[in-house]
Amino acid sequence: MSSSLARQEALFHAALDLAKTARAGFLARECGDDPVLRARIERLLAAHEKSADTLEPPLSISAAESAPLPASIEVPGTRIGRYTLVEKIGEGGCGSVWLAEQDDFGRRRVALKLVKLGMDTADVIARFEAERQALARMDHPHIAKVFDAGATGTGRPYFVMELVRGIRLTDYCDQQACPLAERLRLFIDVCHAVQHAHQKGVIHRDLKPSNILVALHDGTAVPQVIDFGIAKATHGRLGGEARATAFDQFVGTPAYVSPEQADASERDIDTRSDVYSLGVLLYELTTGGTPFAAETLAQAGLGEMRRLICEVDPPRASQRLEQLEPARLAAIATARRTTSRQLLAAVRGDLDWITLRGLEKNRSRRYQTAASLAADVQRHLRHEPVEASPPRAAYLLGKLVRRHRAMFAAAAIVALALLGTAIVSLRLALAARTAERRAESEATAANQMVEFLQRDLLAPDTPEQTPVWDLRWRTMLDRADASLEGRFAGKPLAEATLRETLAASYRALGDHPAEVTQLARAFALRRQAGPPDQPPSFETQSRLAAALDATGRFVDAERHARTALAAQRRLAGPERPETLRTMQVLASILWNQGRLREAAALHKQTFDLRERVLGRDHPETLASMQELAQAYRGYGELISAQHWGRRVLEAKTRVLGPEHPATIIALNGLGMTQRALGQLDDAESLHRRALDLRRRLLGPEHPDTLISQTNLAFVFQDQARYEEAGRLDRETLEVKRRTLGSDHASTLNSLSILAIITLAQGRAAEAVALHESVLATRRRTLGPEHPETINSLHLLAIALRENDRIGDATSLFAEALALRRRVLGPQHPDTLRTQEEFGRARLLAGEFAAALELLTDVLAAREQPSPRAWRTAAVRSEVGAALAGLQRFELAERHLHAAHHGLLHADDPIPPAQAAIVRITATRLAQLYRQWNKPAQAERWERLATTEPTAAR
Amino acid sequence: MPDLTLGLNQLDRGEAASADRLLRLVYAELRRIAASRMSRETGSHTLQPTLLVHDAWLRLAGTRNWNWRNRAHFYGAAAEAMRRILIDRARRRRAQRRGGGQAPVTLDGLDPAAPAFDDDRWLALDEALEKLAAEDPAKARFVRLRFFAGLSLEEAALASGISPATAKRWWAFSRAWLFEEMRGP
Repeated sequence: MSSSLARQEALFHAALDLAKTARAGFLARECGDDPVLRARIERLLAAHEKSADTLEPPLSISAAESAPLPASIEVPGTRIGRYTLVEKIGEGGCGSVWLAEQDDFGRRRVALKLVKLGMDTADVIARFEAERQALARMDHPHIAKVFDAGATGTGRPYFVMELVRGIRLTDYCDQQACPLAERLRLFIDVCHAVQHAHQKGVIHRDLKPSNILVALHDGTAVPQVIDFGIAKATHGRLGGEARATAFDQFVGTPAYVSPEQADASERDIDTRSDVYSLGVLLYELTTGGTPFAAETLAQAGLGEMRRLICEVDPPRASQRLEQLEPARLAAIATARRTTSRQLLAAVRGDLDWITLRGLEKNRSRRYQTAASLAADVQRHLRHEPVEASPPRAAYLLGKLVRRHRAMFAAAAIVALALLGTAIVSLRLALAARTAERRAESEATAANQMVEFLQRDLLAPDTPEQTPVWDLRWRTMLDRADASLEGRFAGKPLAEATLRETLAASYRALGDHPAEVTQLARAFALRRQAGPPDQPPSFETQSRLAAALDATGRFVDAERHARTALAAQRRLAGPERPETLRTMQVLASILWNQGRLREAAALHKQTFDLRERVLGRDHPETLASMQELAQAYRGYGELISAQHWGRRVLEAKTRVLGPEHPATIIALNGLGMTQRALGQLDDAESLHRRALDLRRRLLGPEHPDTLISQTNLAFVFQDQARYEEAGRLDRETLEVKRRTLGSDHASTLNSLSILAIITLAQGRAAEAVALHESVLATRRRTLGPEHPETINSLHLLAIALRENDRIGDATSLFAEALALRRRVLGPQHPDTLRTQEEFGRARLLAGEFAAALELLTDVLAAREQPSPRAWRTAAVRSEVGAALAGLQRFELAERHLHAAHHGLLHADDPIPPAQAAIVRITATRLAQLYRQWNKPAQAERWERLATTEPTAAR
Repeated sequence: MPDLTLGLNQLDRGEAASADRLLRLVYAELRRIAASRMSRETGSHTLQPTLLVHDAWLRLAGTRNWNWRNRAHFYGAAAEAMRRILIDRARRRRAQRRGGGQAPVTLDGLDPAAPAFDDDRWLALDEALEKLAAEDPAKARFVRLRFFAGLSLEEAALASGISPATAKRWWAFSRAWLFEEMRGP
């Protein structure tokens, strides 16, 4: 190259600053004797024109981070196409709006919207052209027409619209202090305008107050919707999914955008998306704020923003108002010429339901058209009953009946037992007679009988009446079982029905093997009795699968569940409640086999179907939501677990009431998630609430009360409050021994927990003895491959390790790991936990290569879902220690530093009981530097290791 | 998590080796995030390098308020790391295409979103950038920040220590220069 880059650049810019016509002369002068340079600059100038469109970085950047774009160069008088700019009348996120005059149209005044730089102009125009015909067909007094679109000389797209001199709807209402009724009337006008556009095939996609202007015509307020067709033309220019993930591709305005529009994967936007935005507008007109505050969304980050819009239910309009500060509420009321109290009264009820219906996440449950939304608002204004109804009304109606069946159908025989032996035999005899009398229609008889048993004899809808389980009933059940033998010869369906009821009772007692026996028998009876394709027999099979699942016979369980599911889908239909129940059973079986992804996906699928088919507040939908929360927790996606946990707790509290057993389960579930997240105070208070409720409602010896007691003990253990933990657990253990017997699975659970607490208190030998006894019993009662048995093996190995019996520990770990890999799969969290503990044993034994091999896998598995969790950092610390042992100092250093940093900056707090890991890691670093012969650094880390764990921050 | 703190702090103290170290950290992190996205987002084989870079920043830098100096170092490293990932991939795929084999979906899965940027164009751009770097390394760095780390004009200006006005001129000139260069003689 003959001439320096600097000279080329100087000439390039100098020429660029000149008008095109002046450039040739300028270059001729400047490069007179250097034709090569002159040609070069000319080529660069030509390249400049082309490269502006073709050589932009293809990588977009989030709008939140990018700085504002350079100010526009348009000034009054600038000619753009057939238009002359007169005065800038607005400036917004996507460009500026000018008052302009159209030269060839009697100097018609129009609004000209200049889109900001950075858009692919040709594409925008092409999109607009595609929409132009539809736009031209719109003719409505409340719609500002879009006339034209084109590109400026600098390549920016622009749109020409009917000029509306007005202010945004919400501002108008507030400035004029419009009463609620008047706001609603304006809103109805807007709905009709949107409806008109929809009928002409135009979706707005960006409805919001700044696109709805109010102008006064002869003293009457007339709303006008502007910008139809513009959102579509200026967005999604690449159509692809990838682009749509960036902030600047977020079509619409976050506070007003529908869930399906916010969801990047949802490309199929229809008119109901506008209906949602109208719902937001109604909410704002009513309460003075959008369902999700714009600031909250702006701060949330893209993912969180999407989650809020797609998953979180906003408070009802009246709730929103109630939550406001009194002064703020008073101001909002004043702007509607009313008092706080009157405003609340006016909003509560109809307007709550209308807005909620408009804001439905699922568009099929939203108002289907803008017109139907308007009609409901109209009905409200006329004091007619509205179409929208409280989402739970249907449920409330059927609630009592359903509660009997869904929650307590299981315990029919147990309830009988409450009334005493005599009554049991009497009722059974009665039931048998009932069945016999209706020999011709046996199935009907059986149904009636069960209904009778369940409805008339069992009414534990009030918690005080919930039976207290104990050994006596077990005896009663066994007796009932025996009394069924031979009494129903020739009446297989009646016997099947009763055995199913018995099975449910065994289930309630936690005796799953007995439940399996009853259900297997009932299933066989049904198959031999009726035609092979009878739906009820598959419901029985589905329950059999669930029972097998509970006994740990996963392979059999899965086989039955899949057979039942296939049959139910075929015979009953894929969306029938009973089919969905089998899906839930199958998901649980998959989960227990460690097939977590499959399980979580199936739970989600079940939840979605139930939400659609049964409604979002149906108890089974809520049960699915609970499962989903638990699946996320088990999966390690704790934030999702927390979100769903809170959501299900809120829904159950609202629908079922704060003291319903299912609500307490939700309290419990959220408590466990909070514990896993290290939110120990919150976990403690949730579990305490659950425990207090259960003690009060169910009594101190009810199994559920004991579960809560155990959960609380776990929290104490994490908080290093071992005394309290031990006391609580021993209490639990005593009750269980007395009521369930020493060999019961639940009793063994408590014993196992006691062993864990004992170990944490440093009494390793004692812990070993306790675990050994639990293991022996479990091997006997559950079999050697039951997950609980393997867990005992795992815990015993840990206790042995801590008791310095490394050799014994190693062989047990190897056994436990092999079993877990086979039974649960290699990626199951429990398997990984065994692998991690095994790795630590290897580390203690000085077998670094073996340790490294074990721990590397664990690290990889933890890192992926939760890179910033303290547990991940803890494993990394172990990996670092193993590397140090292998003298791979540099790598060890990197891991240990990262681990130390990760522990100090983990997303989840380290529970006090585990806090030592920070110091251990510092010590490991010190040791590393000693070995590496770096005494200065070693000393530094030794100092850190002896000071408070947070001192290194 | 690799310890970015160390990398950035050392940069502040001017330790030469840590620039390379930072690059390695960022490179590994980008690949890791990309891989985990790929395994999670089944069905979608396109990822946005820019988002990756920003995610990597968020993840590596955590919640601390790093100043722009640290950030500039990071984005410099990120641009280089992303450049390597993109260019390696383009080369590999081109080689495979020439070898007659079918281009597999690679682990990186980094498909720049713009259809205009196919493999050949990336390679041509990279080549042109090399030439620009030989003549004016500062501008080449600046352009790489725009193309490979996805920085806006303003951000790239800040990271390069120049004013927005200068950045605009640099950009106009470099772009025209590269365009001309890529078109070939």
